[in-house]
Amino acid sequence: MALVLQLVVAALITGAQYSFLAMAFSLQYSVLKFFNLSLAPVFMSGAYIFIAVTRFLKMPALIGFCAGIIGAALLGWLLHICIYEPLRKRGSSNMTLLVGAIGAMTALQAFTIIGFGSEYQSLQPATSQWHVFEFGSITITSVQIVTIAVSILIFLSLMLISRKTLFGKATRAIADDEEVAKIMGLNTNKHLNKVVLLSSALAGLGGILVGLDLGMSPGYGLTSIILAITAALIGGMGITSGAFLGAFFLSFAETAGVGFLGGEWKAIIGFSMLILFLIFKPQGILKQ
Amino acid sequence: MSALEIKNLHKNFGGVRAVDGLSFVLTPGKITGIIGPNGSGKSTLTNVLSGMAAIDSGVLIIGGEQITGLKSYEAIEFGITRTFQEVRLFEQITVLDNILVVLTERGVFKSLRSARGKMHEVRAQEILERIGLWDKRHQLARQLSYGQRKLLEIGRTLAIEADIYLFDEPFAGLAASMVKMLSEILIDLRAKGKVVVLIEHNMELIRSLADHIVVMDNGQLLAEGAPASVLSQHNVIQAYLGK
Amino acid sequence: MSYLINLASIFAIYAILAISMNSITGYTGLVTLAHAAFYGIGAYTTALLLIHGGVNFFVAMLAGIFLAGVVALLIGSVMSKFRGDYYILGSIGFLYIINSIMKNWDSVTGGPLGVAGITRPALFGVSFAENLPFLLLCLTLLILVYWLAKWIVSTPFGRVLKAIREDEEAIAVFGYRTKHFKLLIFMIGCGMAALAGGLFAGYIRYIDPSTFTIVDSVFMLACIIVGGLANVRGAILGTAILVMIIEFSRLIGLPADVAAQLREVIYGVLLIVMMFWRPQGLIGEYKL
Repeated sequence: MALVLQLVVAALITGAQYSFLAMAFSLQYSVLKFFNLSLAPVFMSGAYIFIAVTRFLKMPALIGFCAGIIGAALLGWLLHICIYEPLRKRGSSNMTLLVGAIGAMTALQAFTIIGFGSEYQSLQPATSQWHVFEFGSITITSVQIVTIAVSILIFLSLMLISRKTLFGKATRAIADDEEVAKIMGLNTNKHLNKVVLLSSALAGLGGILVGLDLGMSPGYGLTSIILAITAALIGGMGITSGAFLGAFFLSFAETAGVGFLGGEWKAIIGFSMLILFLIFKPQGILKQ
Repeated sequence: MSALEIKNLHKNFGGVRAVDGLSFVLTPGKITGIIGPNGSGKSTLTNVLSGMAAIDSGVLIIGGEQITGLKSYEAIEFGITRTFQEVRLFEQITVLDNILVVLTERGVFKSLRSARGKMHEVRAQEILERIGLWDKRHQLARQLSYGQRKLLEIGRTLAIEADIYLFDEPFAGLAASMVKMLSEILIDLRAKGKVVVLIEHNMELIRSLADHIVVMDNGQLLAEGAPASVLSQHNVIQAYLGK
Repeated sequence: MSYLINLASIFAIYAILAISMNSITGYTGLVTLAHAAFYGIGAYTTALLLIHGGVNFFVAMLAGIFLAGVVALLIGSVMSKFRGDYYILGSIGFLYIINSIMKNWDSVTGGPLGVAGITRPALFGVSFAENLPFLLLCLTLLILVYWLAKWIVSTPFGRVLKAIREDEEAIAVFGYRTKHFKLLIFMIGCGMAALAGGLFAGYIRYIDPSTFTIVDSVFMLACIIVGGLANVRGAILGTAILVMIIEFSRLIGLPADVAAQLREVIYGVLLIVMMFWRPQGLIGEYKL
């Protein structure tokens, strides 16, 4: 029983960790309509900028945090205005955008390895450990609690923004039909830039929080974006609330699998879920 | 040669009844015009008949056989072929290849070792000369003018011997000489005893070509009969004006 | 001289990979990033049968091609339900799963340590242990694969593939079961990749899972995108260009691992540049 409880907690933590990139991806996908794999390096950049600022520039963690989020937002935005926006303007196909994203992801991942090495790096300050809380037989660290709390907060905020604000309405309008939104007078390019900034910042935030708990390595980028897309797929492609729930569905499935089959099966389970959902339910679980 | 009967056909798209209890018969040796305002379900009907959209309920009777489910690659087996309103050619291959490709063996392994290549080439030449595109045969399909693209699409549909021909707004955007060419093709098919379905917005052409008209509105059959009488019917005029 | 022989051998192996990926992507428009997995299946099967089964190299290689064909049949059947961008996703998923099996199935594949001590091939008393005879073997197989690819494309089968690439729904209406066509070319392409894998195993004489990852699939993709899709000579041209980049990066004297990452940056940037400048590649006939 105690084991089950610990597994549930582990699944909650992992789900929260997946949810940031999943929501970021879903938000972008709903308006840009292509699989932007270069969100992987954007996700990682949050963590790596944090490392650079706290370890190399020796600045406090809070500055590292802000720098990471802003840096990730800028990176995602730069990629958009340099690559995807011009390609979209000339009517490039989805596959073209996707190949461009693959190129960006490959180049940036290699760049990261040149700069930081290919091993895993910890984001924790060298001199301290995270505070560990114990509730009965369950152990959970401060970072993990914060991660869960922040993910729920972001989820609720995004829901609120989507339903109640002009920004959210504009986003949904573009998601439904970009041409019509343009005709209705919406400056779609400007709005898309804002959506890219927001979602990239969210991805970067996710990278920092995951990095604080588990550390970061350049290879993790691709795995996380594929799992994020899986989560988004499970919940319904393009539905941000779906991505949030999908992230937990995925983490619970993975944790259950690891509980029964062992740790090295974790990634295989995740990718198998991807294939399964692509086959059986490409429209996801939630209704559109 | 067989008739095509549509019985109580239904097709929904996300809550919209695109085809709503449609029933009528198409006879061979006649050009049947299908008209109706935008959104009346004409294109959906064509998609269902060619297997590109599934039948929700109702039945198609082709050559005496009852069909409740049709896959797109089965359409040709029932003698059905079609054109597309939004010209769908194979853009990045040649004009000649666009015709040859529908003449190929259907089987995966047979098409690797095709024995009838010469025969297909002769047929392709025949078709291309008929629609006046033989000298453009080595150009890529996307390099053709709009009118030529429409003709190529029609040529592709003619390449295979079929029984039932569905033409979805084939005249739109054609120059006068091409209109004449296409009209002759349709009349020719009728003379051969084929079932010819012509979806059109151009009433002049409908009047001159169609032997029988079916009017659709909101997915349902509004009126049916000879052109002269149907086109002067009050409810038909209303349907068009009302939209 | 021996440097040139080595370079030519590697070039021949990569060229076979490029031609094989082009056979799928250039003619069906489907980008399969799972290709490195089939390269790996060929390599591992050849290596394991050679070492543990004492089987002749060429028989082992044929077994590898056969196994790759079977796996391609299974994976291809599943993937043929996916459209464009979902297809790429599914292919990444399958690549990851197969790579995980290579890493985790220690008892058979040797896990992360891989398989060592592979011997050079011999046939009817002719030994290919020396580098020059081995190069001639590679070139012979390259020419074979080249002719096979050219032949397939020139048949009506190849024509139907191109139509599928242009508009799958439209060609289906004319009576073609497009799934079968896509599946067959996928199997052929993957079989060719396995052939290259077997050659690679015989050449390097040591293989491990790190050679068969997405980075390698992206390399193959870069070759065919640069050289040009749907043109068999384009695949060879693209490979030549990328191999020259590899050699150039070696010659400028950077440490080996930095050079490797720099190459990745270049491949990524190349993909992006090609999408902007010439999506159909240098001498290609099709753009995504």
